[in-house]
Amino acid sequence: MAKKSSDLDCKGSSNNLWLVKVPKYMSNKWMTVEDGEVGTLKINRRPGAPKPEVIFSLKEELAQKDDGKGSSEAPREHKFVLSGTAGQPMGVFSQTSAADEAGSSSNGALSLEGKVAHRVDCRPVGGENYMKLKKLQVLDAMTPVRTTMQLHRAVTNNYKPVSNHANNLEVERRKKEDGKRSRADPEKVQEMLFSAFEKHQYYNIKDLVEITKQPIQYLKEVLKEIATYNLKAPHKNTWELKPEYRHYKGGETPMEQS
Amino acid sequence: MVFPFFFQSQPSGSGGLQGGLQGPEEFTVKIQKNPLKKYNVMRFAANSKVDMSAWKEANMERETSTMDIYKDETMPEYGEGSEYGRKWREQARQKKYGINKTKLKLEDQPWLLKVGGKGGKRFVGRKEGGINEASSYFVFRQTGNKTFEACPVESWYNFTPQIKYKYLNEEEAEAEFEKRHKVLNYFNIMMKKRLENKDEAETEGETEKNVSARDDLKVREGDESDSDLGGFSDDSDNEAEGKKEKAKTAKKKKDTKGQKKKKKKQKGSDDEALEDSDEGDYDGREVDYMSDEDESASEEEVDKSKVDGTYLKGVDQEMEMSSSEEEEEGEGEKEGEAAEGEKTTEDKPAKKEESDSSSSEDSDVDLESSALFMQDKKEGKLKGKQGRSKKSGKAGGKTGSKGTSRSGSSSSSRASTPAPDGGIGSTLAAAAKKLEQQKGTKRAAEGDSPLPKKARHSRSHDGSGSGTPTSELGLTEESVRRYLMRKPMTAKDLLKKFPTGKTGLNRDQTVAKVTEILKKLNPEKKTINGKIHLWLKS
Repeated sequence: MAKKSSDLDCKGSSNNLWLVKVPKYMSNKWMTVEDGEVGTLKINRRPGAPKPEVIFSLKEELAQKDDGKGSSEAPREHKFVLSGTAGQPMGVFSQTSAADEAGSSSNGALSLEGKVAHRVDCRPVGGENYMKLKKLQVLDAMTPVRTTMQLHRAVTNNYKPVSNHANNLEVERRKKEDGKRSRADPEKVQEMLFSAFEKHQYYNIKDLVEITKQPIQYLKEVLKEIATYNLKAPHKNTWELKPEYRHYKGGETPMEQS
Repeated sequence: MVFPFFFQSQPSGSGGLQGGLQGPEEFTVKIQKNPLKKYNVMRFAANSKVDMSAWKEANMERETSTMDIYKDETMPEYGEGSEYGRKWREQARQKKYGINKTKLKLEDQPWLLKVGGKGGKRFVGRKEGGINEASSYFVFRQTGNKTFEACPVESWYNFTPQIKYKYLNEEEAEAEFEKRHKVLNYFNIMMKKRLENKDEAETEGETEKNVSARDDLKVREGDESDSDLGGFSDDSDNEAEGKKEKAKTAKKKKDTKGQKKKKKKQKGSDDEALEDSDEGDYDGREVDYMSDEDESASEEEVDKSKVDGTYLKGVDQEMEMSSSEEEEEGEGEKEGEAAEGEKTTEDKPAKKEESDSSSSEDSDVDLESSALFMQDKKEGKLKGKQGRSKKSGKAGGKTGSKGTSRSGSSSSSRASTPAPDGGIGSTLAAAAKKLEQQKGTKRAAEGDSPLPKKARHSRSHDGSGSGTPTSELGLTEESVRRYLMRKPMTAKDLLKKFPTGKTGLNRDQTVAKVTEILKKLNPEKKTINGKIHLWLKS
């Protein structure tokens, strides 16, 4: 059977895994490590209890490290409380994506990593450290997200202008440059139009004016020869080349055809 | 993969590897950070037995079928069919109107999991939000003897089996819910009929108890306060009586009974003698599948008769029903046969009024509006009446036919009385008459309360005038005995069975008579719930 990218590889389907819920401060510390050891687990099986006692000890230096997210004072010891799956079948699957496209689910190779045998809760064993940590967290959470700042200097860069300076400049410039648009040769205009229609099929008259830089009336006359005005949907009031001038993409040298 | 024994979390001490209790075992925990490999949790429903280790082949894809809705209708950017400046204009327009188009992310689409190839199960996995906000999940896997590998979980998916049948969405469900009292629900009726048929089959010659129990399926007539039958005990009594009669025509009864009950439910309004339903109460109600005077009507008619007769199905009854398909006018014929003399005349005006007042719609409305509730009520009443009379099955049959005719009249358009079988009717005329008279008062006139009452009165008059005291009034030793044999009753209950006015006796007389009978019978006295119940051990 051909292997499809959507096949779920079930090789690991009988693996037993633990799904461990870890508090944020702890996981932040863990993620700072580069593929290394984060701590030790001590599993103590008691004869009377159905579930073993598991204690996780965070590595020394990791516990002390300040990762800048306010979790510097993490307690060292944590209890792992095991609980069965409570009747809910759970499994873990993974997506492996190619190196260049990280995280794209469509490209990933899917594989079943295993089934969850225990749901584990990571609870800090109480202590001063933990209290300190929590205090910091609470203080952080209490700070308002939005604050008010007093400005010492009034903002002076957006006065309401009497007339828009930028606009003014532009207008003057335009007038100087374009003046009245001069009528070019009809042939030339047509050429321009055709090349424009090669790019797009439908054009608004204003856009054409801008492209050809012709006075609008003159342009309309030229257009009437070679194009039609499209009133109906979907392309509201646009000009498109006449069918005989159209070629495939709607632009063809008129010389050949007309 | 090594599967250490501790995964099974058994109190095995130090387990198999080392003998004797040892101290805690130490494992190192390593974080596995692979940016290219993302772990996700898949969770199945709590009660579903999904064994992942049994999966041999599975296929999982993102569900993209719903994504097209949001896909932009894009015009070609250039070349044919495109417009100059289209894209910018669209963007400017959207900004101006504040239209926010959320782009669909493939990662948020649900998974479609197929297990076991083509014929296997399918699941849909939906992403669960908010799992990474407060805490992080890690997957611990044991690698090597003394190490654990921890991988962070990126997202969580809940997998549910894929639904293949159609279901209503919210609005549709609400609309249907609104209609449930208005429109006659054939499906419910069919189911009830099925249940009843099943019951009948099981309990052909069952005891009273069973009968009562069966009736528990329906809303009891005894639930109403105005029942002149005095409630539950009456029903059971009546049923018992009916049962005896029923035995006579066992097979046919079985067939028709369910129908009868069904019809009864449909035409509950017909049988309500005492129901105070006003004229225009059910005018606005709707009907499913309006059919004009065809077999459905006739069927109803037939069934109605059955229903009315409950267990008292006489041969004539059967024959009538088999040749059903008649209109109200057919009822007239029936009346002739059944010689429902006075009752007929009473019926006629009642019916006429019925027909006048109730258009086809109304009759239908009546049928439907009475929910099971009313129907059962009627049925109970009927049963009560039947119980009282000591008529033979034939008589009961006649009664049933009468009821049928009545019901027929009530639902003028749809109902059709079973074709009266002239010969049989006439022969049973006298009995029917008697029965009629007896039951007259309790008979539910079709729909209108004043009418039935009128009929009732007239009937009761007739009854007292013509009938023998024993058969009509019901207050006889035999009836008392029957009541007491069926189940223990208090004296008060017993008295209730013979209401004044019906028997023509006033309260004292009834009491006296009852005491006299009781002395004769000398029933046993049992104390139940602190009250003394009388009981006759048969």
